[in-house]
Amino acid sequence: MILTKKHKQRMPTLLCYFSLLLVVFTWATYSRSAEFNQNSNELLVTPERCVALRQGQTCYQEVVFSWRQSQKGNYCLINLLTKHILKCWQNTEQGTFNLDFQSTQSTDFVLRAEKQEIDLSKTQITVSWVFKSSKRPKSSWKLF
Amino acid sequence: MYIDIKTLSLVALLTIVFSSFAYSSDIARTLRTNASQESEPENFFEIGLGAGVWVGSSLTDEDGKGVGISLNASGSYNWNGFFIDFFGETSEEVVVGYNAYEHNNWSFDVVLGGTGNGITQDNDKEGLFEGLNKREGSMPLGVRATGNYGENIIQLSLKQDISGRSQATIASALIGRNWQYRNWNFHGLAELNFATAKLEDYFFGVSEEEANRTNFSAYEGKASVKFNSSIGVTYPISEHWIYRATVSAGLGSNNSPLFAKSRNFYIGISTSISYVF
Repeated sequence: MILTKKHKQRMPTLLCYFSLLLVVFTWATYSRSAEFNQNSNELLVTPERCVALRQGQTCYQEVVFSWRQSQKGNYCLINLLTKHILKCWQNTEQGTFNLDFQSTQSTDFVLRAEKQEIDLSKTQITVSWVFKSSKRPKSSWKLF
Repeated sequence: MYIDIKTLSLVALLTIVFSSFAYSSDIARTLRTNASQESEPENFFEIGLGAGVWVGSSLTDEDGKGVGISLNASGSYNWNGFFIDFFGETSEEVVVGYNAYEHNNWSFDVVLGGTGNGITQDNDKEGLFEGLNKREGSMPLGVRATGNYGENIIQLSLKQDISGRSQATIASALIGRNWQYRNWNFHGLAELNFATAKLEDYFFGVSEEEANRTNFSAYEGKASVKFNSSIGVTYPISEHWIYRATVSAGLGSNNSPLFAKSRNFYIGISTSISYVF
């Protein structure tokens, strides 16, 4: 690239804009990270997505749940679709849980205080697919 | 369809005609995608990059072996029972058809295919087949019946070339099955293919006139029975990317003098990554 005199005159201004952009981006990233760390009531799952080849197939994914609460207590991780309690923890404010996820549809998971119905934190594993699958209507002769 | 980067064009074109690495319908795709009998046929288009190795008969390679990188593209469009499949895992480059009748576990289609060309001046860059008459693609018209029994699929087809070129009759019987292990989708497929002598005679025969003009000895094609089989796996990498791997093997003699290397078997291993739109 050849820089002309006009370009060279604009360089300090461009550098200024670029530096400002960098500062704004860094600040935004830092503040988001700080906000994430301060939010102590959280339930995370990684990975969040399970991909099957075809719609309707069971999708398999090894996932890890991690949760944190502001106060120590007895908490349970629950599969909202099946209402199944995956695990309960006693007198703690954080925990992790490995799950061999197997489902044909997206599933919500919640963290609740033991024997309570209130969702403290919620997350979802999304089931998606490459090929759609729609039901074929029943028919016999189509010709004529 | 595989578009070889290496100059394997003649092999590829005639492989399509004789379905060494391919099958006579979309049964392979149905098995690969684990589609059920109750599913609507889907419209799709995909492009991908593949690599493969093979050992078998070859028109151009004296060792009868090959390694290649390929660009793949295939698609299908369905409308009210009509369908057009192009560059799929089929013995024909394009198949136009109509799903005419369904009864219990069976589905019956009327199909018209278009095969690739055989030996032509355009694809014979090295002049190996100079002096031979030009071969052109066939247009097999026929019927096929597909039966679904649990995880197994059976397909029978009978086709006749209506282009007036090869005038061959081809019959095939396939049986396939799929399995799912976690997100890996496996399939197995076996085919018995019968073609009348006109098929081999048109594409690989050498007439007395051609023999007089070339170094090839005269050869009259014979009726053929070929066995093709494959096992493969398909894995969804993401919502748009899929990985495939296939091992193909088959039996069938190629006695034409046009072959630089004749073997009565073939084995191929291929792998690809495709983007599904």
